[in-house]
Amino acid sequence: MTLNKKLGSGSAEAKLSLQDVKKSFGRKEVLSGINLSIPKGKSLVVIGGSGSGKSVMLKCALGLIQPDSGKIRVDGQDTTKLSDTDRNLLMHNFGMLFQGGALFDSLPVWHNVGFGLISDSIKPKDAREIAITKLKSVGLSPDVADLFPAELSGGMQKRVSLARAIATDPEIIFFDEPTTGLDPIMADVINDLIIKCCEELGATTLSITHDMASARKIADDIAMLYRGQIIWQGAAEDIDDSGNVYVDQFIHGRAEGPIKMELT
Amino acid sequence: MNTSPTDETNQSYNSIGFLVAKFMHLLQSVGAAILDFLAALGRLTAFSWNGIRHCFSPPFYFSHIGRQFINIGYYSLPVVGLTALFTGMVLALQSYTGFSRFNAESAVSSVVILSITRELAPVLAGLMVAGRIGASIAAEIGTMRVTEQIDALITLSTNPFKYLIAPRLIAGVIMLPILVLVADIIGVFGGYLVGVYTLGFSAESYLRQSWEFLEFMDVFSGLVKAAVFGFIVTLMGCYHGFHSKRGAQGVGAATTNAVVSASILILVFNYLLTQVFFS
Repeated sequence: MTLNKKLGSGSAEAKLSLQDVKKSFGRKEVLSGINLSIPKGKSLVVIGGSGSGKSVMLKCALGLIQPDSGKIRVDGQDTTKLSDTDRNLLMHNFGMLFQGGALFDSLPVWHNVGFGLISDSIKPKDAREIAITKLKSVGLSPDVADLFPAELSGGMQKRVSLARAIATDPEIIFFDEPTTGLDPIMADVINDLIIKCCEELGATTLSITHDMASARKIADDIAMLYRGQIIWQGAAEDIDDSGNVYVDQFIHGRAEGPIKMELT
Repeated sequence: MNTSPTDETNQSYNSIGFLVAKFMHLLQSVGAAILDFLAALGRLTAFSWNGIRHCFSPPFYFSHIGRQFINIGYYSLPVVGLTALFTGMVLALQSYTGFSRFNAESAVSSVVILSITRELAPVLAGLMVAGRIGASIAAEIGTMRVTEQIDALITLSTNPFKYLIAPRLIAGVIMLPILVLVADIIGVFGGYLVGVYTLGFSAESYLRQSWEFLEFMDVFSGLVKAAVFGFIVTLMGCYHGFHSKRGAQGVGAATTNAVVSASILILVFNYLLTQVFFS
């Protein structure tokens, strides 16, 4: 890609890595030194309770929030100090599925999906064609293309949103709670679609979720975030024998244990 | 009860300590308020600069700018037109009552046209548009912020300042003067209706006296004010929407703040601009 040339090729061990990333809002430290790395083509799922800093971590990785310190590397190159233009170029390599879909409600479905495609070289008519093929790949018929997001069910909105995230054939895809708010069957449909789309694209993915069924299904590796730090990381199949009391409490969903919810 | 001298000194020390602590606390909250204000002013300045910068650099979203022209200009015509009509009418009635006491009824038409073009059309149009457009911009952009649509724009390599803010600022600055020009005409027409059909002026002399005292600067200053008010209204809508807090309450607060701050800024800038133009 253009940006890779611009930045020079780095040691491409990890496609995406976070190194000692810190972020505070006012006096509250949300991320206190996150270290993560995802090899090319692998899927890392970060689990953790509400308020553990998952969303902030994802937004830092994506570049929506500037971390206070630390490095975020894509293909070995630090991306925290990019100019606006370079950041825009980098964004072409990223896809993001937002928790609530974040579809543009003033635009029809096809325009939502093709939004990132329309440019000087791709006219809206061609973008529409590509959008319809992408809609097909998430199991939606071409009739949906001319509807508006508000006319769709929650599951369909999620699928349109997934189609938009993969529309530009990104190298890295971020998923923010992909199954939240869906019934268990639709959640599994979305999980299957995520696996299928990522395999087809060979994309590297970083997801955050608190849905363990989803995490087990889509993850190659799982990491657990607690109070702004990664307290455990390992292969998805090892999650049940982690030997970590925090992880055990979380995956079994117990109210009693070392993790105390702040109820006040 | 006898109190020893040392007790008294201790007590007075305590009360002095208490007063000093109170005073420090007061200073602290004053300082914090000033810092908050300066921070907000800094944010607003940076936001305005970003918005203006992106009005002049490509890519331009022409279809968006066109849509905002229609939203801000065309759809505001009825409300601005009605406001101007009734203001012109009431102005003719009121000034007639006043001037007839000095046998100066003939000044009614000049008072109407000068008040409308210099003050009332720009200020009232600005305030009406602040209510109509400032609120809708803040609600729309605020909802986009809350539902992460603005973040989604960024991930799709689209600068929200270019895509959302710049088209609205451009439309505000261009459409408000046009609206005010229309309001000038309708307002004077309202005065004419009352003057001729209720107060018994002859149509010909009313119109002649309207024109006689009107100068280019009267209309021009009104249009410059309108452009500034258009910028204020759209900027406040965008700024408060863009920084909207989470949830329905956040968007509600953003809408209120947009309308209130735009209205107050319009009145303040109206005074400042009048001073610049006519002193």
